[in-house]
Amino acid sequence: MLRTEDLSVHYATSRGYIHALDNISLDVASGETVGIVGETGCGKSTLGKAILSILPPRTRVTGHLLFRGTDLNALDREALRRLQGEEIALIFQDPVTRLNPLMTIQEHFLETIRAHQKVSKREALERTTAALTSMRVPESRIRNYPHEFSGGMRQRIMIALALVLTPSLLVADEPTTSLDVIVEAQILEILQDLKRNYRMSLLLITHNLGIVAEVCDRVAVLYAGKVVELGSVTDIFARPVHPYTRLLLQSIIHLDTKELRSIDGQPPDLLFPPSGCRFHPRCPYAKPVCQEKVPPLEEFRPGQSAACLFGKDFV
Amino acid sequence: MTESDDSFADLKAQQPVLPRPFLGRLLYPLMENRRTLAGVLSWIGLGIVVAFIVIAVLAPILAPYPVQGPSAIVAPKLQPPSLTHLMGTDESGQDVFSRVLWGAQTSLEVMAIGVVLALAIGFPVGLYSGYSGGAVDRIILLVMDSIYAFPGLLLALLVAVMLGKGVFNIGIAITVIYIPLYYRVTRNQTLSIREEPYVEAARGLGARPWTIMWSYIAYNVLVTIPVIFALSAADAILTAAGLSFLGLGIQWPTPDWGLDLSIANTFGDIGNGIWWTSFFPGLMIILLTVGLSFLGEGLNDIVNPLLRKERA
Repeated sequence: MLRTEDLSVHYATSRGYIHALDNISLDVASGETVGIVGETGCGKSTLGKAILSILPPRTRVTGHLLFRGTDLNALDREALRRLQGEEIALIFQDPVTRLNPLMTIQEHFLETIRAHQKVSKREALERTTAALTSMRVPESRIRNYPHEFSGGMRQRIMIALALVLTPSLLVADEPTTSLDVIVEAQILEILQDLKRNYRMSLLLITHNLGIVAEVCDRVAVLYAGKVVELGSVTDIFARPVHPYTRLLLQSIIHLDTKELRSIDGQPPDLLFPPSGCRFHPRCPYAKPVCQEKVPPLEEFRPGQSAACLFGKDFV
Repeated sequence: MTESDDSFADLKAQQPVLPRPFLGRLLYPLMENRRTLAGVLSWIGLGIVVAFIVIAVLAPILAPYPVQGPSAIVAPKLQPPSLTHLMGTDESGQDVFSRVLWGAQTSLEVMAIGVVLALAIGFPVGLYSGYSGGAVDRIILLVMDSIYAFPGLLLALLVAVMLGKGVFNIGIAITVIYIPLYYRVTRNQTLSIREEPYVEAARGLGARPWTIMWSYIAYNVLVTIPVIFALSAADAILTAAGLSFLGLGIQWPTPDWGLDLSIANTFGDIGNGIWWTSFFPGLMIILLTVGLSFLGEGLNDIVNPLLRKERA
C-alpha cells in the first residue's frame, strides 16, 4: 500500500537545514496497522505530513514515497490533490484548531466530498449524515459551527471528515493526545472497527506505547529522525533489540512493578545531529565505535530489524 | 406551578435575548457591547452614518429648492439664514440648505465608488499575494508600498488631474490611494491565517487552492475589514472634499460640500461676515467624518479585545 524508500525531509531554517527525517524506509501493507513511536521532536509528525505532502514550502524532500506503486514526490499538484483526502487521509492531534471556525460542519463535508467527486448535493448530504452518525455525532447538529462542539466531538467529526471518502490509508497523528481517557478509548475502538470493516491501512503516530500495544500490528521506533527498530508488536514489546527501545519500554509505568525509569539526556538538536549512531550520547552501552559508524538497519530476527552495531549482543 | 419553576423563569428573563437571523449576526458584536464605551461610540457613529445615507437618498424629496439648472437660482444672493432659507443663500442665489442635502449624495457617491473599488481590488490582490508568497508577492508588495509611500492627497491630485473632474473620476482617484491600504491589511492577515492548522487540514483533505483561498482564508480575513472600511471611508470624505476645495474635484453646479467651501473661500465670505456659506458644508464634512470614525474606532475596539485592554 505505502512504501517509503530512503525518505529524508530537511526543513529550511535561518540557521540551516533541520534533518527531521533521515533515510526512512518503511512499508505499510493493505489492512495493516503500523505504529510510529518516539519522543517529541523525533520526526513523527513530519512523517505524517510528508506522506500527505503538506510539508511547509521550501522543505527539501528526497527519496521515494510510493503509494500503490506511484511515487507521490513525482506527481503533479493536481494528481496529488486528488489522492489527498480521497485515498490518503490524515487525522491531526489537535482537533480543536483543525476546523474552519467560520464554516458549519455540513459545509466542511460538502466541500470535501465535492472537491473529489461529482455528486449531487443531496447525495453528499446523505453521505455526510451517514459518516457523522457512524461517529455518533447526531444528525441534528450538522449545521452547527465547530466552536459549538466539545473536543472529543470535534475529533470524531475530524475522523468522520477524513473517512467520508473511504480512503485506503489513514494516517492518524496522535489522534487522542488532547482527549481524556474515556474519549480516547472510544476513538481507539472506532479505529479498530474501521480497520476490520474497510480493510483500511492505518499509520498510527503516537508516543503512547499503550495504544500501540493495543491497536498496532507492527511498530517502527523513531529516534532523531531515524528508524532505530522495526518489528511486530509482540517482538518489539517482548524482545526489543535496540537499547533505545528497551529504555523506552522501561519508561512506562507497569501495574506490577512500581519502578519507573527515565532516559537520561535530551533528544539531540537535529540541526547538528550526533555523528555515528544518533543515540550514542544517551546510550548506556555506547562504545567508542558508536561515535563514528552509522549503524545500518539490520534484521536480527525474522521481521524484526534494528539499527544498532551491537544488536547481536541484545538479541 | 411550583416555586422553583418560577425562579427558573426569572433566570430565563435575565438572560439577554440574542439576535438570531442574518442581520442579527452582523450586528451581534454591536448588540453585545452596547453598554461599553466602544459600543456606544459605534452606535452613535452608525446612527450618524445611517442618517446621512437617509438624507442622501431622500435629498430630492427633502430639499426645498432645486440645485441644478436655471431654476436653481431661487433668491437674492447671500441672504442670512431665515425661515424660507434655513441656511441662507450663496453667491449665486442658491439655497444653501438644499445644496447641503444634495451634497450628501455627492459625498457618499464619491466615497462609495472610491472605497468599494479599493476594497474590490485591494482585497483579492492582497489575498493572492499573501497566499502564493514568493517572488510574485514581493513584486506586488513593492508596487503597493511605493504607492503607499506617496502622500495620499498628492497622489489623488495627480490622478484627478490626469482623469479630469466629475464624481466618478474623483472616486477613481480615491481608489488609487486606498488600494494599498486594503492590500496590506489583507496580505498580512492572509499570511497569518495561511498558517492556521485548519488550513493545513484542508490541504490534507485535498481541497483545491482556490477553495482554500476563498472559503478558508478570505472569510477569516474579512472579519477585520469593516474597521478599515469605516476608517478609510472617513478619510475618503476628507480627501474628496480636499480635492474639491483645491478646484480639482467636483465641478460647479454639482452640489458638493468641499466645492461650496472652496467657493465661499474664494469670495472671502468669512471676512465679510457671511459665515453660513462655509459653516454648514464644513459642519457636514466634520459630522460625517466623525460618524464614520466613531463607527470604525468603536468596531476596532470591539473586534480587537487586546487593543481594548491596552487602551484601558
